[in-house]
Amino acid sequence: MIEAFFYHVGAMTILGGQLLRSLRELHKIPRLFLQQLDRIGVGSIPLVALTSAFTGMVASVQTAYQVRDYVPLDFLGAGVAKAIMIELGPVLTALVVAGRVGAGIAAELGTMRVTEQIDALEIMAIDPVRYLVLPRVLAGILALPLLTVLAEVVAILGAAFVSATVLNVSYATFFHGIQLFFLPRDLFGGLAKSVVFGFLITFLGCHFGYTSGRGASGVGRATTYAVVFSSLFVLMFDYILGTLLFG
Amino acid sequence: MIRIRNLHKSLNGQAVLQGIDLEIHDGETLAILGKSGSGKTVLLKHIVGLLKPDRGSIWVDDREVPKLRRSELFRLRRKFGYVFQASALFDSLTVYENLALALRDRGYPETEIEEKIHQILELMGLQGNEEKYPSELSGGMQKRVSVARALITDPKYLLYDEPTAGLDPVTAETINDLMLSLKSRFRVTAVLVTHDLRCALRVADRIALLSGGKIRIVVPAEETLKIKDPELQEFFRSLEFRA
Ligand SMILES: Nc1ncnc2c1ncn2[C@@H]1O[C@H](COP(=O)(O)OP(=O)(O)OP(=O)(O)O)[C@@H](O)[C@H]1O
Ligand SMILES: [Mg+2]
Repeated sequence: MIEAFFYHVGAMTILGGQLLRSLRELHKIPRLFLQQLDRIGVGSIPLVALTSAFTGMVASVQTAYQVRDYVPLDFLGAGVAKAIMIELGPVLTALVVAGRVGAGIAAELGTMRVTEQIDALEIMAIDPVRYLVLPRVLAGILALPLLTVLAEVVAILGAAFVSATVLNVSYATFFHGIQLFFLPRDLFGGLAKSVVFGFLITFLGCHFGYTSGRGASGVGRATTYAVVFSSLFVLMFDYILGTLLFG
Repeated sequence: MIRIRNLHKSLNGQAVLQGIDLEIHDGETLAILGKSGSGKTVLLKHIVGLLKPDRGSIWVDDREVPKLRRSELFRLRRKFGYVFQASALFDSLTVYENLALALRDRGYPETEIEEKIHQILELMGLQGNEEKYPSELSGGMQKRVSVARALITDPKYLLYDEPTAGLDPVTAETINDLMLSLKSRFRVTAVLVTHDLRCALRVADRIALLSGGKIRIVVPAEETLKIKDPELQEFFRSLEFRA
């Protein structure tokens, strides 16, 4: 257990160092980067949109239930939008993407490790970190904030819809509430977090795939670890960054 | 020249290589025979720095492989072609893209890449398969693509790990011919790992027997059949059966 901990910390440190050095060959990967941006970013749009629609809707109902006895519901929009921009948008998007993309990356790289495709890259003098890890990590760093913006827009629309149809707070009142208390820091603080989440998810997916054990069971384990640890790290860093940005 | 000195390696607590000493001269083809599990593949992987020795070392063109920095190692590897025992083709890339990858990475112009691929596919009898994925090819075809991928960068050193295993005799013979012509035309230096003594005798200049973690015997190919060694003679028997 402790041995495994130090093994992974060590391996991640080495991978991180190689990743930084591979930035020197950034000019060689634009095609791979776009390909990954498509898979990680565009490919996640339906899932992210769907989950955030329901998130926004439930956020509306929940917030109304919690505050209706002491805050007028005119301010519902402000409360819901802040929760979405600061917490729900970045974190839920990250968790959804961790499940979909983190697992996919770990499975793909794990299979390549097990079938010696990563060794084949090494032999061909193509740095596998530059070829496989760098495009995924950069795509994650860019895709996550964009997906988060999308998630927040959809969630706020969902929240407004529920407010108007179920809670008797009109669209106008709801959006006026948002405007009244909007702070750019809420939005940009949340997006800053999502950049970090994008890095964590893709980097951990790559790490666990890269260090995958032998056989199908090795790849299966790598996939599970990628999802578990990226979700855990997202929540941990959410707390740390939340304290730094908004504390 | 490749020079291996006192190479030791244990994997999972099992001593696989226990003091390998071996030299491969420029322009020669050395065949390594050995039973399954004797460590032939492990030895090949040390030459290109995929595995690091526990003790001893390897020199390629007077550069000490285990001590090279990553960027230097990548530069050295450009001189190598490596045929993996299990092919190790990129399964998300087509045959064409598998062959083009290393060339593109080295900045070859696309027209030259296309020409090279066309040539080598014809040589390998694989024309018309450019757009197929490895999973759509038979095992023998995958093997030939993997040989083609190793050759396409015109390497100075070629490491073949069982290039003819699992191929029908006719195709195996074309690969043997290919290895011979690379040797005579381009003075390629090659290490050929094989079970097949017939193939080794035909292609190699010298033959080495790996056994018990050491190189037990190294002899010129033409003298192999005179050597009285029980383990080597077991390989002779496969010749008699096929003759
Ligand atoms: N990655 C690894 N981890 C642990 N043990 C390994 C690993 N690779 C090889 N071994 C062990 O090292 C020994 C030598 O393996 P190697 O693959 O070199 O054999 P080989 O001579 O190539 O056999 P074959 O002719 O069947 O390919 C075997 O006992 C094998 O179990
Ligand atoms: Mg082998």
